[in-house]
Amino acid sequence: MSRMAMAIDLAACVGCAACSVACKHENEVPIGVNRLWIRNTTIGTFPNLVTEFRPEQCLHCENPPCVPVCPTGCCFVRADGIVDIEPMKCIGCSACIAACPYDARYMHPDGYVSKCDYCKHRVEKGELPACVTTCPTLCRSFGDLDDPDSDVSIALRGARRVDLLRPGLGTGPKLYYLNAPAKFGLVGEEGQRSS
Amino acid sequence: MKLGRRDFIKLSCATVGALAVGSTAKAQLFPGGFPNPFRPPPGKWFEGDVTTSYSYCEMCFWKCGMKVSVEGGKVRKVDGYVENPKSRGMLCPRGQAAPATTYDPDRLKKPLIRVEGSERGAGQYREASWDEAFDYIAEKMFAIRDEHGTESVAFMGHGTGDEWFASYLPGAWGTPNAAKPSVSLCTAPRETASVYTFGRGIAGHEQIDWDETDYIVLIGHHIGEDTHNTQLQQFAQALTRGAELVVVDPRFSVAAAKAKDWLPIKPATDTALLLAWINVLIEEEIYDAEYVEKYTLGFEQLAEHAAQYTPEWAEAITEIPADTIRRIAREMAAHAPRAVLPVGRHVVWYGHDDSHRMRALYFVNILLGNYGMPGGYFLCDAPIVDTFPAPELPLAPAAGGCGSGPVEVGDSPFRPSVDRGKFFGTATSVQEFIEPMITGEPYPVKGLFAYGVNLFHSIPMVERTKEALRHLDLYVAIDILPMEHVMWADVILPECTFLERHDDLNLVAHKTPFIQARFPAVEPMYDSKPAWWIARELGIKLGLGEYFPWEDIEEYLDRRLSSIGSSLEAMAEQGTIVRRGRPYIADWERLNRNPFDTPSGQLEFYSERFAEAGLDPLPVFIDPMEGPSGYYRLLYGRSPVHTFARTHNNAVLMEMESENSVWLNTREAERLGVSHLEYVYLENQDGVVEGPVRANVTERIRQDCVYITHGYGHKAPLMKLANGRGASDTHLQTRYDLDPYSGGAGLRNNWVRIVPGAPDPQHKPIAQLVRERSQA
Amino acid sequence: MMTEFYALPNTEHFWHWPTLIHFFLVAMAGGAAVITTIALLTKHPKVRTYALVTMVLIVLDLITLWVESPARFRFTHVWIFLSFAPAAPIWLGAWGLSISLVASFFVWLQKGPRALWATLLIIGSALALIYPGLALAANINRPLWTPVVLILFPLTGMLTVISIAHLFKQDWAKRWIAPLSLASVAMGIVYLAGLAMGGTEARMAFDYLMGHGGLLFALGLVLMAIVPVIRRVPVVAALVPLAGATIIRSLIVEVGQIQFFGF
Repeated sequence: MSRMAMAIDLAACVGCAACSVACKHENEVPIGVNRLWIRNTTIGTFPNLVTEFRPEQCLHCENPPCVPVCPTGCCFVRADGIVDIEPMKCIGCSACIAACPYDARYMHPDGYVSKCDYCKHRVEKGELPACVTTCPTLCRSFGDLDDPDSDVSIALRGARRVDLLRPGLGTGPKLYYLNAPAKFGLVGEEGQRSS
Repeated sequence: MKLGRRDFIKLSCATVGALAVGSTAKAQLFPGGFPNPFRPPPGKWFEGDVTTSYSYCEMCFWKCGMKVSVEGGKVRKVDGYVENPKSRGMLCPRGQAAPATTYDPDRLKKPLIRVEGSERGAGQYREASWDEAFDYIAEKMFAIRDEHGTESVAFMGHGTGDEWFASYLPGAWGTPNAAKPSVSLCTAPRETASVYTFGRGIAGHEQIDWDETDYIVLIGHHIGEDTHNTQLQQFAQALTRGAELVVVDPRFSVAAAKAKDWLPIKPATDTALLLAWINVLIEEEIYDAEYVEKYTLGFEQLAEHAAQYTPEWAEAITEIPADTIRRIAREMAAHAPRAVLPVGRHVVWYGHDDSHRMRALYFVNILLGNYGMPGGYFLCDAPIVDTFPAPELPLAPAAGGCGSGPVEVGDSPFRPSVDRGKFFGTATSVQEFIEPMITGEPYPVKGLFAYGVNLFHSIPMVERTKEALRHLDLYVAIDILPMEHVMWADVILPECTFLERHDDLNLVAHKTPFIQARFPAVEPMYDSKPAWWIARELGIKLGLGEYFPWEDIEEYLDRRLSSIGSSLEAMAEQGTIVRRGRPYIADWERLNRNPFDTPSGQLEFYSERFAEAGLDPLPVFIDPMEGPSGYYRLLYGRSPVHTFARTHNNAVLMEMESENSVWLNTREAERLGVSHLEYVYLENQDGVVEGPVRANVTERIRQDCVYITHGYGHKAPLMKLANGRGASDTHLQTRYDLDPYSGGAGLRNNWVRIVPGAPDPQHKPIAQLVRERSQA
Repeated sequence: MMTEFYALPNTEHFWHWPTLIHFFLVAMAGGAAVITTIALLTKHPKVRTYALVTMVLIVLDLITLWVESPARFRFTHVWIFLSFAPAAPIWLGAWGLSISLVASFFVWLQKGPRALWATLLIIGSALALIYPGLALAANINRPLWTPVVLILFPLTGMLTVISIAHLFKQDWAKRWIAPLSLASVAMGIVYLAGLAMGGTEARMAFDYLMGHGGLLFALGLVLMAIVPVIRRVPVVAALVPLAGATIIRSLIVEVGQIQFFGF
């Protein structure tokens, strides 16, 4: 058992979308849907501004809401903690798309649901996901949370602060945002925390 | 794609709207037609038989080393590789999107010849064989030569292949009129200033010792938006390491978002700020006196000159408080020599003041004692590889890259290039080639080759350029895509993309100089050909065969590589050969050599050579031009997912960002009644209108300027993804101010007003266009 | 606050108009199964007719589901019956409809143990009736699909089928229309009030619903509320609440696909 996880250092990320384009080619993601996108948000008034550059994708939750709602078992959690899809079991009911709080899932034109799988084909070979490999700001760390020496564990220990997306939903994301630029944490998440 | 909170809801709402008419639902209802009942999802490319080859990227000029993965005869993925000092294993979004350019169905496919009697720009062409196209070109070139001389054919080039079309072929043919937009429309002032200060160009890639620096001051330098891969990596690593960052910019740029201090300077006043920093460093005696004493010339003159530029003087001009100016100067000095003011790349901003600004920037660095020191500017030279043995060219080609100097005619019988005498410096000035095409002064230019240069999206005064093209006897465009300016040419030659071709070796000046090679990953698609082949075949038709004594590029490359004890075969296995550099002054002193190639052998604050030419020997601040009232200064910059005007038909990159928007300060927008994401027109001071373009109502910019990213606003119907999206800054640049030192064209002296209420152009989603294209 | 994207998140609607048809058909199918169950338990003389109608409605619904499925020619639906996913509302619904279909078939045939069919029908019809609301309310990330939907959907589902029964002049149906309509209206108001008086996200959702079909929602409520006034004309008395229920259900399904992630 292992728990593959990712951390993104928002202090380093410049939102350039290299990860998104690398993902597009690596995983042959059709034009019109995305496994990975960048949300750049600015708050404040001139000249006191904060801009947060935030790549988003499947967070591979510890408690993924998309998995239990799947009627065929095509959505499942692998032994290494990657939330995965077996396309040949998918009926395209979209229940998992409805359940995902992060807009991470899409319907592939071939008729099955798809999303980020942490490039499992690379991870299985001991390589890093394509987005991690190509990132010019080196803002992404990947590895096994259960291994204290993994890149992701080291990054988490070294971070000034760690934030999760929509923590109020109790999904337990295994994608962490480090060193958010705004004092209160992730931009646009204030409402999520209070609810 | 830019969206506000409201519009995000609108986005969902638009989907509901689409549903009502059933279009989206239909697409969902029968996705991909009727598939085979038991067909599993198609296999993934990485499960197949994947082969890799080395190349270096051509999606921008940074040219990162890359590995290309091919499966099933198709390029599937590109990656950086760690052994390459440029990519270091990583690639930016544009590099990653390279396969989508190769597989762009809108590419030029066959040589085309303009239909006899049709207007230039009417886009009427007939397909031709390469042989026919070359014959056509040769005949016209001979006619021009016989009537006006060889100098009357001009060559413009950009991209790796410009070695052939802006250097080698012009040299063989015998014309000094060869230029690259990467000089006078980009780097010229920094190069001239550098040569006359350091005795060395900046050239290649900005030689900033990011890995060692502790304090960074960026002036209008958009790291993160201009995703220069290596620079971005090192910049991000420096920040992660704890280096402090100050950003001077009228706009809250991506870099500014990472800064501890953002100084929202009034546009066009940067030189005043730099002069004030020189003043503080000297007045407070916090400059590196030892370094200045040992390596510089003219400090006394500078000190005397800079006394007038007090922070209070600068505050009135720049709108940056004098206290802040002092504080930043003291912080710089405290971190010196590991404090650096990096030189930017595109520095042709205001023309008259650009070389002064660059020199002032260098002077601050010298006063911090960082030039040739760890944490400042390192010194670098390109590795040397012998050329292929061939007869000496009638005119020696200029050096490649951004630091390209003019072709010196010397004692030869050739006339000097048409831009000589218009400015002092050591560059070619591509925009100065246009006027002679119309006026015939100083002598007629009747032929033009445009290799990879987008004439209508780089050279200002687009209407003048079109007028010049109408005056030509021959206009040849060599390109990959049917760009607007390409569809004006008499002959269009389709080049293959970089993934389909060999190119010449890339010799890179770097902290560790290196040599990288490009190998074709797949065969050229359609009837497209590589630049080296086009140049050689054309050369032979022009009777210049003796200058192309190699049979093919493999022979050429192998011979060159043999001069350094390598071979093409060895290069195919390693991609890059890395050499040791001499990055610091100490490395040169150990060899008893002086890195500063100035007449004095010193870093020159005071330039005798400028003084002799009647120019200012020390940098001065010149009051910027002011625009008409009600107009905003038009600033422009880069999107991280696009290069120039080149990548706007790349499906993947267009999905990332499919149109640009004009940044407008919130308070100005309120005053004008413009709402966020509303479509507006931009009208410049000469009545030229661009748009419709979305208004990006934002706090991230001052009230006296607006900003758009460069490269959008294509007017090229054959480029189905790019056509008609956003606004073009170049089309709004109907004026420029020539830098008397470098010949650079200051482009930021154009003003626009916002005209609200433009119609929504109803752009189709990129996904829909891609679908339509693939069905066509 | 200003947001820019490079590439877009997958915020497009995942359920389209065929799904709305399914939600209409499944309301009738589930409701019909409930009626068949009651008829079977009360030994109603028309139990065979109701069983046949139930079968037809279930089959129609399953055909709709199959046609709208992007995987219709891969026949992956078999995996529903080869897996055990009791936490998945769609799994529950699929089994509920299947059990109801089989039991109705035997009721129609009048073969086999009546007690078994009755038991299966009680379970199956309950699942079939409840599951659409469950499939929505299970998504706690989508603020318009509140727990109130768990009651609102079965109520409106029953109202739908009983209105149809009334249209086909089933005399017992008439007396149920008004109570079901008024209960639906009450739950509709509870639903709106819950949103309007909820937290930040719920209030945003309320505003969103009002902006994207507020008038329609009100119309739906009014159509159900006026039932006691118009009960004298059978056709009107049947069609008006039917329309009201369908409008409310469709709006909640369609507009409710929003979530306020990143706002």
